[in-house]
Amino acid sequence: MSAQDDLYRKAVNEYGAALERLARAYEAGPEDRRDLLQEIHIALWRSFTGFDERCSLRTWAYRVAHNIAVTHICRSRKTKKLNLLSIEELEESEKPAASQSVAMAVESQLLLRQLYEFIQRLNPPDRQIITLYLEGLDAASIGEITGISPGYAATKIHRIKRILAERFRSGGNDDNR
Amino acid sequence: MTTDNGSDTVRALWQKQRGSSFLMEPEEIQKRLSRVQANLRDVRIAIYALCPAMAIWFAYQLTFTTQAIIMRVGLLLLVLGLSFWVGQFWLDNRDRRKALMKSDAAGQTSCLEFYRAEMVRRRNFNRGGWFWSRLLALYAGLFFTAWEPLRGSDAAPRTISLLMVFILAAVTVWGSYRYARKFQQKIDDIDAMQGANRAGGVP
Repeated sequence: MSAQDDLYRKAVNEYGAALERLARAYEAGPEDRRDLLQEIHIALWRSFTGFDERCSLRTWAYRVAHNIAVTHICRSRKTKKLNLLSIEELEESEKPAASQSVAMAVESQLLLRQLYEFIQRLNPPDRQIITLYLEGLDAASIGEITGISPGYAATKIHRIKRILAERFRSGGNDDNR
Repeated sequence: MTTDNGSDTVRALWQKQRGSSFLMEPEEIQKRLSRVQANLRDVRIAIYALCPAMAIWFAYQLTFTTQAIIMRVGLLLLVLGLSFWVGQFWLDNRDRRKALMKSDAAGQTSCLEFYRAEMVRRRNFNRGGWFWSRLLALYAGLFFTAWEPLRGSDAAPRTISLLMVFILAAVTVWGSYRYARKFQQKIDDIDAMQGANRAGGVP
C-alpha cells in the first residue's frame, strides 16, 4: 500500500464522520450529499500526492473538503437560485424564537434539521467558519484552514455562539417566525 | 443560560452525530477517475469536432460560392465566432487540465483564496474579451448572413428575424453581465474580508 493510500485511510478514520457532517451542511438532498461526499473522498485521496506535512492532517483534510464542497455548490443549479447570506444578515433578518428547555432541544432531531437549514442558507465563507466551529476547532485553527486572521475568526465565533444560543436552544419554534 | 452553555450544547449535539463510515477504496477511486476522464474526453471530442466542422462549412461557402458582399462579411464573422468559441473552450480546458494535474491545490490553498479564484474564473467567463469577441462575431455573423436571403421576402419576416437577432444578443449581454456583477460582488466581499484580515478587524 502506498503512502498516499495510508494517508487517505488515516484521514478518513479520523475525520470521516466530520466529512459526512460537512457534506450534509452543503447539500440537503441525500443523493446530492452522497455525490459530494464521493467527490470529497476522491479529491482527498488525490491531494495526498502533494501532502508535505507543512500543516496538520486535520487542516489539510478540512481544506480539501471545504474547497471541493464550495466548487460543488457553485456548480449546483439549486444554489444559484438561493440568495446566500452572511451570518450577520441572517441574524438581523430573523429574530430568535422563544426558548424551551435545553434537554428538549438536545433530544430533538428537529433542532439538528433546523441547524442544517440555517447553515445551508449561509454564504460559503461563513458556512465554513460555522461548521469548523461546530467541529470543535478554535479560532487559530479556523484561521489556518480558511485563510482569515484568528482575530477575525474569534469575532465571527462570538457571533455564531450568540446565534446558536439564542436560536437553537428551543426545540423547534423557528417555523412560527 | 449563558451564551457559551447554549452554543456548547448545540456543538455537542453536532459532534454526537455519527457518520456511516463511508470509505472508498483507492482502486475504486482510480476506476471512478478514469470514468470521469473518459466522459470529459467524449465531450471534448464532440465540441472539437462540431465547431471546426461548422467553421469549415462556412469557410467553404465564403471561399467557393458566389455571395453578396454583406453575406460574405456574415460568413467571415461566423467563421471567426466559431474559432473564438473553440479557442475559449481550449483555454478553459487547458486550465482545467492544469488544475487536475495539480491535485494537491485544494489542500495547499486556504478556503478564502480558493473561493475567490472560483469566483474570478466565473466572472471572467461572463465578461471580457473572449465573451465580446464570441458574441459580436456570432450575432453579427448571423445578422449579415440572414440579410441577403431575406431580401426577396416581405419586409415583415425580415424585420422580425433581424429584431430577434438583436433581442437575443441583448438578452445574452444583459444575462452575462448580471452574472458577472454577482460574482464581482462576491469577490468584493472576499477582498473586504482579506482587507479586514490585514487590518486585524472585522468589516
